[in-house]
Amino acid sequence: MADRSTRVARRAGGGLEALEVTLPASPTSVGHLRSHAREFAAAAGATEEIVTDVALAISEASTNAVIHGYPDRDATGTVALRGSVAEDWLELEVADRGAGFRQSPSGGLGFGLKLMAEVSDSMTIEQRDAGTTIVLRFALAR
Amino acid sequence: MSSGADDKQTWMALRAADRPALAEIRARRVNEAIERGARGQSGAVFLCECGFLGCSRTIELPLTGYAAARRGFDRFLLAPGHEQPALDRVVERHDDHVVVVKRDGRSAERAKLADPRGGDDG
Repeated sequence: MADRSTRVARRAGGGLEALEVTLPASPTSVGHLRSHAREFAAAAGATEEIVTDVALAISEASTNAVIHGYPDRDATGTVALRGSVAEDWLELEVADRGAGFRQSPSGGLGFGLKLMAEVSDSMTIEQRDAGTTIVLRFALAR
Repeated sequence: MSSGADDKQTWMALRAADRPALAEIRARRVNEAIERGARGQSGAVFLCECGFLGCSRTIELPLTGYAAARRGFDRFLLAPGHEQPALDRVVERHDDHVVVVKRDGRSAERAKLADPRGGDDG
């Protein structure tokens, strides 16, 4: 699958400084976003355990964006993954421009969110009219 | 001396007993994340903090309503009907949510230890 847009900023001395990937809101994008997040975390110096946690969290966040953000399967919908490293923290954001959380039973939403809360060191969920952004932070040295 | 199989069964029984408390604590972490992300807004959609791992019920509340529900470490926000009488005592009942406190000391202690607000009881 061709990325709709990808930007990777590299430090002068090697390693990654920032990541930005935007893909169509499609189930097939979830694996690509997970791979980008894994590579970014590993390049940032995360341990194998943290890389696994990052992959799991981004997989859940992306799945939620695809399934719950765009319940009507909006063909123009996108999911954006942004990553940055600051001091000893790895920060990853998954953002959609979809419907957001709704005041109704929504199968599977809670399970993924609880898993993200479990494996990350800090989580913030921004619900806006323009979509949902989940910010996950991982300590590089636990 | 217990066998490995006995140890495994004991561990699994303990995990099963703790599962509702762990699910509630995870849901609370999610709701704290939602509250953090909603600063500057009037309200947000929160998750039911019941002990069912797969629960995805949502509750729309003003931020002041969430803060009121969360004013003690042992208070949890639930969708109506999601309380477990053996574990939860309903202390507030509203049209679209209830607030419960933990009946048993162990669950309350877990909630206090896991409270991101430091177990402040109000």
